[in-house]
Amino acid sequence: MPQTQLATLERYAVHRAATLAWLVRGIERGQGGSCAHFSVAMGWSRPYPETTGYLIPTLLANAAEHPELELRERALACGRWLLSIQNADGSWNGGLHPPRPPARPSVFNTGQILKGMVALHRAGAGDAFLQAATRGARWLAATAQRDGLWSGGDYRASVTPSYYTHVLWPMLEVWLETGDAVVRASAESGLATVLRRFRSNGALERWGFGDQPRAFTHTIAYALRGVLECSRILGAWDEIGARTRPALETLLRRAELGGGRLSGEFDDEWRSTANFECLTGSAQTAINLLSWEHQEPDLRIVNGAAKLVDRVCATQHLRHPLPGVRGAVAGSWPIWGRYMTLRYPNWAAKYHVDALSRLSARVERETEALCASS
Amino acid sequence: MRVVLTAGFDRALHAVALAELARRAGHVVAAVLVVQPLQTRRVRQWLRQRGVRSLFDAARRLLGASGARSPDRRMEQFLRQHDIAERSLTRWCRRHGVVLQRVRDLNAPQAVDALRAARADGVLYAGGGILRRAFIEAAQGHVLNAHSGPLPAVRGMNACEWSLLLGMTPTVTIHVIDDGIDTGGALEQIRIERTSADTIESLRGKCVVAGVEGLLRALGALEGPLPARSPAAGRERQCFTLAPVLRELLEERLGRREAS
Repeated sequence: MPQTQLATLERYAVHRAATLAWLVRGIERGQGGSCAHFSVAMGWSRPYPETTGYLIPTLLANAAEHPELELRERALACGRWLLSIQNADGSWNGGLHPPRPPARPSVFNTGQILKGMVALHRAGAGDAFLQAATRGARWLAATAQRDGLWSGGDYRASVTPSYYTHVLWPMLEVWLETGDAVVRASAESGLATVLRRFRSNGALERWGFGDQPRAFTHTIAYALRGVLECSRILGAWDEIGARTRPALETLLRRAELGGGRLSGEFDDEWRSTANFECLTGSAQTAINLLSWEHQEPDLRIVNGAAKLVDRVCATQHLRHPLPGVRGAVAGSWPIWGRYMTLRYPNWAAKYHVDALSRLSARVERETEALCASS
Repeated sequence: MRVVLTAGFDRALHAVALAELARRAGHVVAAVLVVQPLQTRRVRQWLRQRGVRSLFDAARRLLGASGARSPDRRMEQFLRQHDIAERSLTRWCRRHGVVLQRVRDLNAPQAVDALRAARADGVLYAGGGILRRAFIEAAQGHVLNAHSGPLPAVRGMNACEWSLLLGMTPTVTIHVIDDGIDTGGALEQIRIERTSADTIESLRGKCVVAGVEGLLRALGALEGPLPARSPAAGRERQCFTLAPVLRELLEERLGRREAS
């Protein structure tokens, strides 16, 4: 069968390799975990358990293609580090590690770490990871209110933000592995609460870090991704996943009109409230668009995702003399924008790698079909 | 028929062809509205939507150059076939005593006033940006466009390319412009014949030529009531310029077709 490789896919592979290499540098300096971010002024930060957790599936997914980066070994090491700092009640603390006293268990961070634990279990890394995930998920279910969410918020909001769908999703991932009905019921209850927060224009109430109606695309994408993934796991696209369609349609259109430059922040009327791009949110939005397109195939959606990915690629320095900048993805563009100002967060890099992988796989499916038909 | 012609720049060859062939067919070109291409806003919008590389192509077209891959090559052939020597709207207008109005925006009061002053039966749209209500109302809804895709299925930009990517037959739709994006009633659908040697650019060129011919045929329709918007109009997702990776995919598809 004739093979084909598009020039842009080759370019994506170069960006993916450079971004993974940057993530590896962040792990090497992470004292067990992955550094939260790099800044030219402050260097590498302390490790961040939350993002170390959800970085693990990305490392595992790219391990076979990049044996030189030893990604599987690093994922395992990160997993063991996370096991070592899990609280007795199953939770993990908030913030960077070590936490500043008083250390407080964090709902959101615990949820994100579950993803890493489940991924390691699925990769055959041992029972300890599933046991840790089970304890974490049970802690989340036990501390949830009757509406399936958590009181008092977790970050800056006075009520549970809607991006906690990003906690409900890993709870369902744990349920997939364990069949723990209590965990599933709790996650479904929280999901039902968030679904009631959808407005007719697709916006979600309380989708930002704070109580204001405006939100970075980072948390908008978190909220939508959580709904999309819950819908995938529950096999309920029409009832759950399709609720994200109006928001994704709007984000697609905005991404297209901006040629891949998506405003970094919107209010609940979809008014742009930022003069910067949140690159993390752009990469996450590309992933969400591709998830949607998986359900409702349409290359016009892929086109919008590609423009977002291209835009993030265009902001990367692949030959920068500083290893902390080379292959990194800035939080905002321009870098002095309000989201993660002057910093290169590891989660921006993680989502960029994921977006590149998904987009490449989607286009490769098209080229394979082409090869098969010719 | 008395018509006003719009164009996105002075050397828009399809607009020159439309003007001259309409004149030869006995119609009166009452005015030509040409949008000034070199405006910061337009350049910025172009850059955002199509990228830096496309600016070089655009600059070449502005200067009247048509490379081997350019869709203008087919329009050049078309002009030669019809013995049309003119390549500039400014010179064509001068030669035929037609008012040429340079405007910053077709929706600007200056353009709308010029349209009203022309007392035309309708407008042949040959580029110049999205038309707003003020312009359309001044033309009493009699604005015709050639869209390089099958409507209502493929609306928006790069319609020829999207037709191919979405597995449809390349088609030009002659339609009325209303206040939506390619949502007005259709007068004619023209299927474009594909050959194994076709590239994206050659197909675009065929669409442009078919569009000119279709618009000329449709001129008579300006006398009677124009078709209304179809109930399906605007339901399909709008198309935008192709991202590089999808353009390469399409080129690969066309190349494979040629090879097979």
